[in-house]
Amino acid sequence: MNPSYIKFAAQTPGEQALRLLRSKGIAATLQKNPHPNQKEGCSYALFVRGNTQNALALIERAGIRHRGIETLREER
Amino acid sequence: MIYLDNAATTFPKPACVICAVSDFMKSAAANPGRGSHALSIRASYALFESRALLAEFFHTDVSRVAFTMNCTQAINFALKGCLQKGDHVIISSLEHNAVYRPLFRMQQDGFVTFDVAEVDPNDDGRTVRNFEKLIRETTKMIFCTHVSNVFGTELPIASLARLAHKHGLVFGVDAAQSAGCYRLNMEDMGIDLVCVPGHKGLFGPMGTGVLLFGDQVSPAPILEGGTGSLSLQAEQPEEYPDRLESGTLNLPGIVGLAAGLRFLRSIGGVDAVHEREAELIRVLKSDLHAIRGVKVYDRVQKDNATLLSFNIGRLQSEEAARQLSGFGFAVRAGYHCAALAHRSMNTTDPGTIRVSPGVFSTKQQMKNFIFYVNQIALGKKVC
Repeated sequence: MNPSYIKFAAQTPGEQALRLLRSKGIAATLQKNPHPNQKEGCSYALFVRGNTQNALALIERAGIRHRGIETLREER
Repeated sequence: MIYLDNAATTFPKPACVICAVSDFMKSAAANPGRGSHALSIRASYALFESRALLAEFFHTDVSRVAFTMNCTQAINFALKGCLQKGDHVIISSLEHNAVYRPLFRMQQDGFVTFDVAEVDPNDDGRTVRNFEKLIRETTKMIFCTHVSNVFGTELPIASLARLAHKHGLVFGVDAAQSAGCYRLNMEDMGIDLVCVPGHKGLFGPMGTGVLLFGDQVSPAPILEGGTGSLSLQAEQPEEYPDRLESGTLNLPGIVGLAAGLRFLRSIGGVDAVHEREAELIRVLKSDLHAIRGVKVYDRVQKDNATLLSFNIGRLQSEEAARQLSGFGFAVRAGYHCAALAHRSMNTTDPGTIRVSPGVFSTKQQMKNFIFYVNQIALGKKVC
């Protein structure tokens, strides 16, 4: 199964979410989205070590704006 | 040169600020939020850390901290981003041109209208009532300075915030003179918009400013362009702070600003800085009063003001400042870009000499300054 990530439109909410998860002992990394959406362009991907859905719930509870969970596409 | 012009910009800058800017320029000055490479990521992290420090300091959410070039730009973003055609604004009689001129232009263009509420420096209740009297159906916002850049008069911003919210208005503050030396808590005080210079009380480099805003306002961008986010989309991103931050930011300056904020904390924070500067002004005030012919404008400020305006007889303030410079003192004179304040206090002739000590100023420097003011009052000139 391909890894999934939480998508953010901008760096700041991504960093906010990263900091939130780390403060709760959840390991995560933020990077520029390796597969940007062809309509939107650049975005940020937060890869969570562990349950991405649970991490997303924490992020939502903190009111951090995100663009949902996406799955990394296969490179050809 | 003894530098007493800290209300214009703090000088000298702390060594840690200079080192932070220099180190960043040498080691990580890539474009933040643009590339996927390690240097860009380091730059992005430095940007976020600086933003987070400011958010914590002023008590707002980190996504609602937008970097600007200076306080004036932040004020323009706040006014032009939040006001709509037909809106009415109330400002104070002590505003800097950074507030007055954008609104004047917007009024000239038939976009908004504004009124000026008289500040009573000795009666906060009266000041608040003066604002309230001007509220009308179309009033959208109260925007005012926290501390007058000419007279050091502190406005009752917590009371004005309550007044604004009682009437469903947005409340904004020009914190050019107060950020870093007066308490400013957006959450507790109920402030919707705060405009801050990086290079004054926060000890950052010039070319840095910040607009901070709460969740009751959503400023529209007045600049659009590249943000490093949603790049294939024609519309400016909705997400803050990107919505307000187009183009490459002055990240070396921002990193220096963050170092300045850390320095401020290391020397005891806002209260310690305030008390230190207020004590120097108290020394100055009492001795200036003793000089014949010197007019001190201290009745328009509280006992804890951190700057002071005065005049020496009928001597033009600019000429007095020139002579003081000859004796080795840097002070600001003239009108301080504050037409409203000078008209309000009847000081358009001859302007005022403004002294603003900083954290590196000493009582002995104040005493030396007073000695030379006395020399000028006696008609003596530099050799």
